Amino acid sequence: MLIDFSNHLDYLWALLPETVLTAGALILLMYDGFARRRSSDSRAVGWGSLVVLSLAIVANIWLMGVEEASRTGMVAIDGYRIFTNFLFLGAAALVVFISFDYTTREGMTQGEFYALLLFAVVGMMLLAGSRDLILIFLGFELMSIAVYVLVGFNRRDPRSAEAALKYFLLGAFSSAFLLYGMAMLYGASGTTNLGIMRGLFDAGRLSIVAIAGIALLAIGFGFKVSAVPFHVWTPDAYEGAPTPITAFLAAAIKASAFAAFIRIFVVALGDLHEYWEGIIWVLAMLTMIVPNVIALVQDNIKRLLAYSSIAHAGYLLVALIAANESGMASFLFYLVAYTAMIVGAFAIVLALAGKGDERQRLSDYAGLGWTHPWAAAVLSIFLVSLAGLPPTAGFIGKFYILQAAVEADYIDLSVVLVVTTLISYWYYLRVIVSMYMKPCVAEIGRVPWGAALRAVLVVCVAITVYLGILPSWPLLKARQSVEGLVPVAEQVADVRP
Amino acid sequence: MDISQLVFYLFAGVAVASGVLMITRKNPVYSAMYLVLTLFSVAAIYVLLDAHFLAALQIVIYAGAILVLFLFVIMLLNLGHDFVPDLRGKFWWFVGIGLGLVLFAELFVLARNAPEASGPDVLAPLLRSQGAVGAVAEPLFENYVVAVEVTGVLLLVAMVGAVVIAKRKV
Repeated sequence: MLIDFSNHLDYLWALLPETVLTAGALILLMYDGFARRRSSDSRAVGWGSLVVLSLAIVANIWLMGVEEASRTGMVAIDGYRIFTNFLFLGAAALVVFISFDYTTREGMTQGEFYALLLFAVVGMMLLAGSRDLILIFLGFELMSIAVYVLVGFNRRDPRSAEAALKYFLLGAFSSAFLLYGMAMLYGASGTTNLGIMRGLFDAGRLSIVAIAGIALLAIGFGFKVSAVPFHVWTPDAYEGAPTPITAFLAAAIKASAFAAFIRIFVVALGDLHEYWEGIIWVLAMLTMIVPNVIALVQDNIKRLLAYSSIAHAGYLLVALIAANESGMASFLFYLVAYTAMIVGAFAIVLALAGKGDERQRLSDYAGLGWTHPWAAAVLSIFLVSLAGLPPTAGFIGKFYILQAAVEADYIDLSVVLVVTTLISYWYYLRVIVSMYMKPCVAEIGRVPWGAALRAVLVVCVAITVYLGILPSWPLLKARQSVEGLVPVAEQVADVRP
Repeated sequence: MDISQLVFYLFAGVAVASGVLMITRKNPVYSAMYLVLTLFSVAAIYVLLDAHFLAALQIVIYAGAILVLFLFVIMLLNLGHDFVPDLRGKFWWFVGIGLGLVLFAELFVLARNAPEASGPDVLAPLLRSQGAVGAVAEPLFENYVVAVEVTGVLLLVAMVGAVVIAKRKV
């Protein structure tokens, strides 16, 4: 099917996955309004949301056969969007699965939980798939507002409220930066459409308004992807949020912000690489070094994973600054790998924490290898992969990012990436050491592993190991999805001194 | 200087002055009142730009509905009795002044580099052919129809979220 955006009705087809998700979320909200407040009803809404997610996946598969007439519609129909859509839908499905037991345990049985999750996914998909600054901003807000509520969903827990407030205030603040940046880009180019904007900027003489816009956008996105020095909200928000939402924050939300970051900077402003590479270089440098050092002294497992997630944002920034096809392919590959390992790790943390999220300290994990051998083994796989040791997905992902960085001649960033990865071994392995080589302090007792949780762990382990051993097919897919997205790779090489 | 420029400077001045007064008043009710004045002056500037419909919307929605909401909230929260200054100590005053100067410098640079007024007046013929409402409505429901729909979903999510957070027994 050929989509021609001059016929406005065609947007309905171009946005079919988003439309399906929105309609499904509305139906779930209606159902929940009439349901009684029982955990079985909440579970029914959860299963309903899984059905909606799978329908959206079907719609997304249908979208693969769709062509677009021009590259200037408000919504892009390209491999990049379809790939990221699959990623968001998959991540959301994993989060729904790990939420089943958690919501029952913590008494958060409101069905709105799942509806808001679906709305957040709609926002993410719009964010990663739009070619228009207005839609990108609206997608951001749609995603963020749903997630602010989800972070503060557990009202019995003051940590949850604190996390939600901090996340909300800094999120609103950073949205203002984004909006100012977008307004200035609009002022400088006269269009909000990224496809048209690309042809309007002349790298030789760029107006100061456009440069201010680029700088403000970089700051706004820096907040959203929690790059240092705009990361301070991250550990608190991650620690206080309900654990499934923390996994969602770390995996899908960061991924969608990065996807939009790349679409604006690499695709629309790709010819202006020389203007933004400096600021992104500094961000990438700081974001790799600072969190890896701070994480060394963390004692709370959720905070540790939060700092690890900030550090991973740094690695992804290296893929972004490379601004070539390998960089974007490695970015997509890394997102898949990272989603699997971080959701898996948080799933274990969630189950072990017990009622009220009590057990979160590293000392609670001492001796886990002997009392809960399976949990310890699976968590070890995820930690090893996050650290980037072979033969796991994390290693291959980092390897491809390094390759892209070297291709684009960023030797300094590559060296820092390797060194900080070596530093990060210390804190990942510290958890493993404490699980296997320290005596058990407090008995954890029986941990209920629900079927849904087991399924998630199996899927995450399978992806982590599969990507680590046989990475060629997924990487080929990632490369195909970004083909034609960056015709700038060569030009950038010319521009750089 | 013709009359429309004179009117512009009058209303722009009132807008800026009442904006400053709004953020410097200590009583929140006064602040809200100055906000009304700012919004009215901006509406007048819209009229000067031939955007009569926008001006009407500005007055009906912002100066009318939203301001009433503000006043209700101020009333319900019973604000306006005790004040704690935001800036404590000399150091923060200097930081504040410094930041203000930076912003002012940015404004100056931007104003100097602002593009010249572009070409012929495109708005007037558009308004003649479509009327003030059509000129707003047509792009809104054709070119930006997706954005309008997404905004609708966004507002719904905000409402659901507010209900989830606020209306629940803990």
